[in-house]
Amino acid sequence: MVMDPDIDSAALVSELTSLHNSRRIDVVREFRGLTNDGGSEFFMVRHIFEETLPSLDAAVAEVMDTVVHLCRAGGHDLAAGTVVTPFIAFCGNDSQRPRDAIALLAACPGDFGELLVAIVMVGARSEPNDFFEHAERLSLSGEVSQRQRAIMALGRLASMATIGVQRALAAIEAALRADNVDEMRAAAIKACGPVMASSGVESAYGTDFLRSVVEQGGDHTLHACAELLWLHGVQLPPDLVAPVFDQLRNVDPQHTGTIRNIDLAVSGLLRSELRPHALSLLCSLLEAAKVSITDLGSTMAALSRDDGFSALATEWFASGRRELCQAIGDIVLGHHQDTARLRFDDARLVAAGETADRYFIGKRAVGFLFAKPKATIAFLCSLLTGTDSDVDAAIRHLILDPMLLNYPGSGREALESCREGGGEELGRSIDELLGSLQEYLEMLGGGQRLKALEVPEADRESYRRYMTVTMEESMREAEKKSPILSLVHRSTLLYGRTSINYVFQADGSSQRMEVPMSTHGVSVEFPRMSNIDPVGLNFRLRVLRNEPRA
Amino acid sequence: MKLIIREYLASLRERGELDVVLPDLLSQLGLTVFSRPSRGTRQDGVDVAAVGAMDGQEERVFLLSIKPGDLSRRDWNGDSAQALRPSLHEIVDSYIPNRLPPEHRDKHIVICVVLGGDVHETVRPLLSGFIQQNTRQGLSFEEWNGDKLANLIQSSFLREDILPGDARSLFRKSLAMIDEPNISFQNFSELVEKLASSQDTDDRQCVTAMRQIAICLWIMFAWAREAENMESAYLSGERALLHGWHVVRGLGERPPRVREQVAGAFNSIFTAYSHISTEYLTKNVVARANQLHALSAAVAGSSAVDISLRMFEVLGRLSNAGLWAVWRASKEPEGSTERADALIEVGSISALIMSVIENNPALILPIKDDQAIDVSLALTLMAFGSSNHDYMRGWLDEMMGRAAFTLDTNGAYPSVLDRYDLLLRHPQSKDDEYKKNATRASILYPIVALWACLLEAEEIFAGVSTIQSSKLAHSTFQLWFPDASSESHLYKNDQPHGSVLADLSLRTRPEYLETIRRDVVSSMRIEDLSAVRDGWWPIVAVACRHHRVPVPVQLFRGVDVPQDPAAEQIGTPS
Repeated sequence: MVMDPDIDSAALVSELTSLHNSRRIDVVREFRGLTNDGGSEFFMVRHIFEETLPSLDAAVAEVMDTVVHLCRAGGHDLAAGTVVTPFIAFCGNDSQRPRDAIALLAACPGDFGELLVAIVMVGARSEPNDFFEHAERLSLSGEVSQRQRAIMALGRLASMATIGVQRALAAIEAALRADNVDEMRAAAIKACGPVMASSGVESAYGTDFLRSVVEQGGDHTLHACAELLWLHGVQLPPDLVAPVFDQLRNVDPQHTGTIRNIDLAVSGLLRSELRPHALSLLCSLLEAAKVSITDLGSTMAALSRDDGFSALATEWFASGRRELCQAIGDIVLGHHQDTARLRFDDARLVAAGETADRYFIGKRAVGFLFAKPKATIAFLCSLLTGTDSDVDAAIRHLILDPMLLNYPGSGREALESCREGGGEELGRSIDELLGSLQEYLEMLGGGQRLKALEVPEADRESYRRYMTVTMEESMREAEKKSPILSLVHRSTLLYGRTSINYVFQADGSSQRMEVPMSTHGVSVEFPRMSNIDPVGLNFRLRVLRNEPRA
Repeated sequence: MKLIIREYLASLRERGELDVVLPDLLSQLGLTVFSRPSRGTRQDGVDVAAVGAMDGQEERVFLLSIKPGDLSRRDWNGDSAQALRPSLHEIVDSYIPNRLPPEHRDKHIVICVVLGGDVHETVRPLLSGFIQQNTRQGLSFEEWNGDKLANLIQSSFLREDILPGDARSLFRKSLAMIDEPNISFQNFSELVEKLASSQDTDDRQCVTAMRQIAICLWIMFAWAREAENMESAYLSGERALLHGWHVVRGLGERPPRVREQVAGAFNSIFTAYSHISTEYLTKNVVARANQLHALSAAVAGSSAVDISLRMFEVLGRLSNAGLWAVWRASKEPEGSTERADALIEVGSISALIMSVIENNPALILPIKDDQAIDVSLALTLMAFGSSNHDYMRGWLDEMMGRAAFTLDTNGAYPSVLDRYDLLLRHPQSKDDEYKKNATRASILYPIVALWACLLEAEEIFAGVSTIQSSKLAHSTFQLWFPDASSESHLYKNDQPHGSVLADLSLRTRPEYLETIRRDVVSSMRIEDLSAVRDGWWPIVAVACRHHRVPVPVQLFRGVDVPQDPAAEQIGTPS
């Protein structure tokens, strides 16, 4: 089956429906032959079926067969289940269809299990008690996966006035009593959590029940907790918050799906009342080395934009904990722009009744932010208070060595930008530092060449080849990870400054488009010592990262 | 070719440069040199004196007064002790009547005014007037300016029949590519190889070849100095010196006169080498040695490998300059000024080395195992001053600390990789297989361990021992010793030679020292190498540095460890 993009899809749907309902073709059977070869075409073609299905006159069994097939063929794609919605519409057009469907499902749960929730929901519109009982019955027998779906269905029915939260929860609890396994608990959380969060019902019974489920733990349970926190965290009943966060500290780092949910939950909760809980969870996961901040992309991005990032960075540097400091380093390296305002801010330390050891914080900052000279120098400058000459002198020395000696270019720029808005004392310190840097650079020989010491041309050529190959490899690796490049067509232009394309209009005419080419470049200043003294630099950074507080 | 020589002559700046070449030139022209330049002032105005027939004329005496560069008014009659007019007067008034050997007094005397360049027009009348006034029966004057000298050099050393076309081409290329030192040196090296092979031919060719090597090296030096790039000249100087020695050592059967003439040419090569070494170190190292990172920055390298390679080159060259100063001191009598000066130079160069290490941290840890050769040379030199021993201990201690650190962290630990492109990628992988291959053998650790023994640094020895047992148990630790074949191949490095004491164990210090002592006793005596036997032992150090051969432990001199007999035997000066 091939999809022609120029076809009017509404007309096609209408034509297909007409042909099917007049028995000239069997759309349902035809779509059962649709296979997914990995491209986007499968979903485009399946969409035609989705549009057509609600209006079809077809046997429920065949429709269920085709819907399940198309659902499964969608694989793990987020769009895999979209075919269920038109199935619900199809069933909703005839009150007999849900009855037939639930009967078929009960007879062959392995074949149609995916449709359980949909069938119960659509059936409950007209016969809520009957379909509640169907779900209740299914939640007590059969395969675990079927019982899980039944619990999910019960959870969905809880929001129906004719059923009610209390009755649904009781049914779910009964299912759990019958078989209290991890998967069932997870299903219970997924089913009840949203109800508890969104219904606004202050049910002590519900909260107690859910808390008891959460506290039993288990991998699936934790996954469901993380999802609950992500999707409904802000609305959770207060009594449920602590147990959920506590359980998530036990997450297995191998379970990337749960980690992803935690990442989304923490990043979403940073601007909520649950921020302290979210940061506390993040801290304990990092400290236990269960995750690195780079595993939590959304949290990294959220923290890099967070108004309290400076205070958090100060607190974590002050803690001296390697994992926390590394997280700050990774955030700055990955997201924080060099010019952004990472500053010393002891608000969190003061709130915790602690005093900041500025020199210690400065050393940790250098150790972990070294690759971002502008951010590091800005942070170090903010540590200069002008009140303690010994500490200030030690911090100034850190700015000079290793920062300025390694990054004379961006270091100078960073210092100049720190001058703006800084006080007179800071201005003097900056002048002194720039003077020391200048003195050092002049000592290097003032640019006078010593040809006899220079690298031979052959070695330069080898180095250029080595760099070219390395950069090409990096480019290939980066392209492999690019989500965009896999979607677009690639053209290689050998000449010219603009690319000419013709865009076809609805009336069949074409319009000439010239797209000017632009360049994209990134400049990076490598630390000078990585050439002059790589071993010494490596050693020193390790010392700065790990030496204990004096 | 004449332009090349003319350029060379014009660029000679000091008396010590032009007058070194002239005796060979005169000898090659068929004259007998009976007075050679010596240190200090001239002998009553005469720099070089020779007798013989030139251009088919009768036998005459040539008294040369040398003035490098052009002759200006100031050089003619200025305050300088080297001013020409007073020198000419001294020759006429003092040398001829008092110093001219009696057997030459009845011969026609030609006073030659030798200039590297030309006579300035303002001085021309003065010089002509002087010549007119002093020319008489049996005494005449000749002006040997750059042009004439270039003709003489070309006709005597470099003419087509004695310097074949391909050799002339190699020589031209070596000069033209001075700013691409590797290519330049490659050409010069081939040239030296070609010329030095004449040692197997007749006596005259042998002498001529040595003189050709000398004059080519001098010309290379002058050109390199003008180009402000001494790299090729330095390497060429080492190569010429080593090939020269290889020729000198094989002259046993030749007539004494030939041996003397070849030795004279070798001295000229050695002088050129010394000038080159001094110029290289003065211009490139001394000025920046005391500034933090200044030498490393001058490499203008793209990677840490570039800096490491260059810095250890510098270290080896500085060390050899120091070892030559030690050698000079040993040649001078006790209490002489020359000896004192040489010893001061030894101290200065040792201090310079320490300063270079302090200011260029790339020197704390080699990236290539064979950089242990440069480390050995530096330690050998510094060991002559007992006040340096603490520094040496500190250096080695830090070196082993860094070695352990890089091995632990997969940093740029010393490896046996030799190719530049492999070094750039080193360490390419963190896996054990790669590390084992890159560290499959080592001379660095055994040398450091030996020096730890000699310096009584028990902790350093223990550190190296731990590295061996915990990180490099797979590595073949070894020391190299010269053997009977070394004498034939050490200087030219044309074949593998020497023997290796392999699989050294660093379990205990006495055991280790005993192992080495036993081998030192049973292997060839270092004195059996001609360079050591004939009093030119630094040539062995030059050969080791130049050909990347480990320094024989018998050269590790200067350390006095009397309480340890085994160590004493290793460190005994030859």
